[in-house]
Amino acid sequence: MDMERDELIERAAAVLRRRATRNPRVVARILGTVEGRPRRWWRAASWPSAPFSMAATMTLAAAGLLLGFVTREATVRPDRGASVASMPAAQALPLVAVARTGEALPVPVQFTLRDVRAAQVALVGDFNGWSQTATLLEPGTASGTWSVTVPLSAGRHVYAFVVDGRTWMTDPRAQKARDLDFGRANSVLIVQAP
Amino acid sequence: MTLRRVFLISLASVAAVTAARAQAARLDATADVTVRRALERELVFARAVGLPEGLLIAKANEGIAKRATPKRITDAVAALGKRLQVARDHLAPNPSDDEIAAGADALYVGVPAPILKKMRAAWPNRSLALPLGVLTELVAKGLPPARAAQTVTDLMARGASNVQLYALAQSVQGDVAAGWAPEAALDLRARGVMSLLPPAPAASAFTNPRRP
Repeated sequence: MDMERDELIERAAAVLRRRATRNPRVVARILGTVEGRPRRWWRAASWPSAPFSMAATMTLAAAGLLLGFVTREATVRPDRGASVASMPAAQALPLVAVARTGEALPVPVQFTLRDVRAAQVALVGDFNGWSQTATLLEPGTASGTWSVTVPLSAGRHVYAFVVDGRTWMTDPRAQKARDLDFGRANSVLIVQAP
Repeated sequence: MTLRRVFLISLASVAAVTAARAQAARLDATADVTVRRALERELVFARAVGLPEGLLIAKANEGIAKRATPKRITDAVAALGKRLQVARDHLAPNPSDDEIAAGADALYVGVPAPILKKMRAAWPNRSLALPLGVLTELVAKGLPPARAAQTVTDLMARGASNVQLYALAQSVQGDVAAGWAPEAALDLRARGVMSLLPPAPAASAFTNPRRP
């Protein structure tokens, strides 16, 4: 039986060898045709050998995933709608900072105001001698926003905004302080310095 | 009185008036002439007794900015001068300008002057600007001055920090805005701060030497 199989294999192999015999002229014609065709741009890229390609591809993929995960927080787009909604609409925002270096140092405090019709906004208060020219707010990038940061000593301060040199305006978000001297209320702010 | 003494007093007076006029130049340019003269008189007085002159000028400028009448402005400046002097005296020995201003504000809302002395005794070496500001705000929110002052000085004596006093004022403000009675809010919030402070030393440990 083994002999019969061997004989069968030998006959099949002989047939295949005959078919596999390459005609040099046919081969030369095929190669000439192929080399004469223009190469596609995606075929122009040379790829490394298969084992290296697999390793490099896996490494690059892993690095990309890791980089994406690490930078996820930085690349997340802010929810513009939410941030706008959380902003006060037309109010000043006194930011009370904390000085950790001692009581005597002034603490930077930011005052903001939103008034789309204002051409000039001044901050007046006990910290600048109620001068209408000493502390002008600067316009922000958003329309109608104004802000200024001033160093204040720890304690209680009273202030107000003067819009366009004539309109006295208290801070809508701050507490108000009665003014028995002149009858026009001020805004009040306590600055802390531990 | 010798001629030389008269000459020196006259010279000092001229110097004081000149200095007062120089200070009054910081007054708003639109100030009424009566306001300017009254302010100069107050500044001479303030300089003589060592009060912060800038606060008087600021008060006059505030009145001008608020378009108050000259009489109201001069009255306000004169009243502030008196408050500054009382505050300075009760915050002795060496109050800063900020402390004097804060003391004058406290007097303005009705805090009795002896309270300032009590607060100075509680914090002899620390600035009282913030505690006085907190007290002023508490009283402005409707608390009786004596009650508010007692609470603040108790907390100071127990070692409360500026941050804790500030938090007390903010909390009470929020509570009152939410409809609480000011006294109830102060009691509750003061107890909250007090619970964070170390216990007061027992008096008997110092008064009874036989105690083991």
